Amino acid sequence: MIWQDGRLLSPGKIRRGDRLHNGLRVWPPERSKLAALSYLDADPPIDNARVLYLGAAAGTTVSFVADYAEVVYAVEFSRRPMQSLIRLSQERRNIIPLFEDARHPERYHAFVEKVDIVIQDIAQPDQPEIAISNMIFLKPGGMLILFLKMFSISVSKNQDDICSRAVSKLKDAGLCEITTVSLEKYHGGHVAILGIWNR
Amino acid sequence: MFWYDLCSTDNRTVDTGSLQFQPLVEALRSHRDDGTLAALYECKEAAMTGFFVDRATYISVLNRVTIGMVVRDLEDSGDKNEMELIHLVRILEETDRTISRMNEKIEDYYLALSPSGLTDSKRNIWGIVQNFAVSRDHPLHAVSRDLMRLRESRTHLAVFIRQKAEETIPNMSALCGPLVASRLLSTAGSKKHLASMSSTSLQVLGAGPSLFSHLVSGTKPPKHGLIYEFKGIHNSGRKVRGRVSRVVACQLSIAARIDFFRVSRDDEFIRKAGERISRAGGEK
Repeated sequence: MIWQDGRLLSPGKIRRGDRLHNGLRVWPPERSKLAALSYLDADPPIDNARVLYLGAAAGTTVSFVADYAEVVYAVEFSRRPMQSLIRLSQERRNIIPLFEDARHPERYHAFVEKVDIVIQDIAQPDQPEIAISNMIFLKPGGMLILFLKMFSISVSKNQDDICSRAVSKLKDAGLCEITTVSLEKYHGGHVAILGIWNR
Repeated sequence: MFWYDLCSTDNRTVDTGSLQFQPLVEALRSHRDDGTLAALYECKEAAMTGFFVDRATYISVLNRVTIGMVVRDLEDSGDKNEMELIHLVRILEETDRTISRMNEKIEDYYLALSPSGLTDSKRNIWGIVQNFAVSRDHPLHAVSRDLMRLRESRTHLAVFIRQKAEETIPNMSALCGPLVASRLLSTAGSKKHLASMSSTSLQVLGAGPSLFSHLVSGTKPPKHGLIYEFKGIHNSGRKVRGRVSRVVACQLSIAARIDFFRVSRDDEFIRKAGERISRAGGEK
C-alpha cells in the first residue's frame, strides 16, 4: 500500500469530497477503520486481492479497498447506504454490490467466489457468528478482519470480556493466529480482530 | 447449473457488449428466490464453459448484473406508503430546523443594529421577519419573504403528513396524534421494527444519550423520549409523568402491532387504550 510523508494514500479515481496529497486520494484513519488499522498495526494484504466486505455501508472504505484490490464483493442490507453504494459501483466496475443480509450467505453465494480476505464491519450483537458463517468464502490461509463494535454487543459489560468472548468464539470455529488491535485512538469503542483461516 | 448458464445466447462466449442484462436479472432473481441457484466459486468454471473470454470480462458482467439485481430488489422491497411517510417526516424536521436557525440569525442581525429591541417585554422574531418582508428595499427583504413562505410550505407539508399517517398508521395516530406517531415511525425506521419493539424501548425512543448515560454510569433512567411531545404526557403533572408515559408506551406498542399486522383502525382498542391513558393521568 502507498505511504507518503506518513500518510496512507490510495491510487484510484478521485471522488467528490476526497482530500488529495501529491495528486492521490488520502485514506483518512478517522473515517475508515481499515485505514486506522494500517496506521496502528500493519497494512492489510489487500493489494490485488479478492475481498469480501460485509457491511459495506455507503462505501467509504469500499471505495479505497477497490482501489487496491482486484475485486470487492460488498454486502450491505440497508436501503439508504445501498443507494450510495450503487452509485459507487457504477464508477468502479470491480465492486460487486449485494443487497443481502450477511447472516444468510446462501442467498448470495452464487455470486461470490473464494476470496483472499474477508472484512467485516457490521455493528450487530452476533458479529462473530456472522463472520463464521461467511468463512465458506475464505480460502485456506486467508485472512479475516473483524471490526468489533463493543457497544453494539453490550453497553454495560466489561469491554475486555466482550472482546475475549468474541475471540474465543472465532478460535472455536477454526481461526488461528488471532490478534486484536484496539482502534480507540481513531474509533472509540472499536477493536479489530485479525485471524487466519486454517481449514 | 451455474448462474451464467441462465444467459441464453447462441454462441456461448459472452462479452459485455452483447449481453442483455434485464432478462438475466429477472431469471436470476426468480431462481434465487426458488433456491435453485447453484454456487459459483471460481471464474475458472465460467471460462471453462466458454462464457467469458477472461476474468476481467467476467467481473465486469457480474458488476452490471448485480447492480441490476440490487436496483430491482430496492424497487420491490418495502411499503411505498410507509417509506414516503418516513422521508416526509425527515424533511419536515429538517425544515423546522432551517426555519428556527434562520430566525435566530435574523434576530441577531436585528438586535445588533438596534439593541433597544432587547428591552421589549417579549421576543417577537416573527414580527421582525414580517417587517423585513414588507419593506421592499431592505437587504433581507427577499430572504424574509422566502422564510415566511417556507413556514407556509411547512404547514402544508404537516397537513399532508397528518393525512398520510392516519392512513398508514391509523391506530398509533389515533392514540398520540399523527405527527408524533409518524415521528416515532421515522425514528424507528420501519413499521416492522416499531412493531417488534418492546414498549419500554418505545417509551425511550429518541432519548438515546440519556438512556446510554443511564446504562453506563448509572444516572437516572429517562422517563420518555419522543412520546414526550404527545400532549397527554407533557401536560400531565410532573409526578405522574413517568407513569403516564409508561402506559402510553404500552398502548402505543400494541397499536404499532395492530398497524403492522392488521393495518385497519380498531375503534374498540382505541377507546379502551384512551381510557387507560386518562386513568393513569389521574392523581392517586
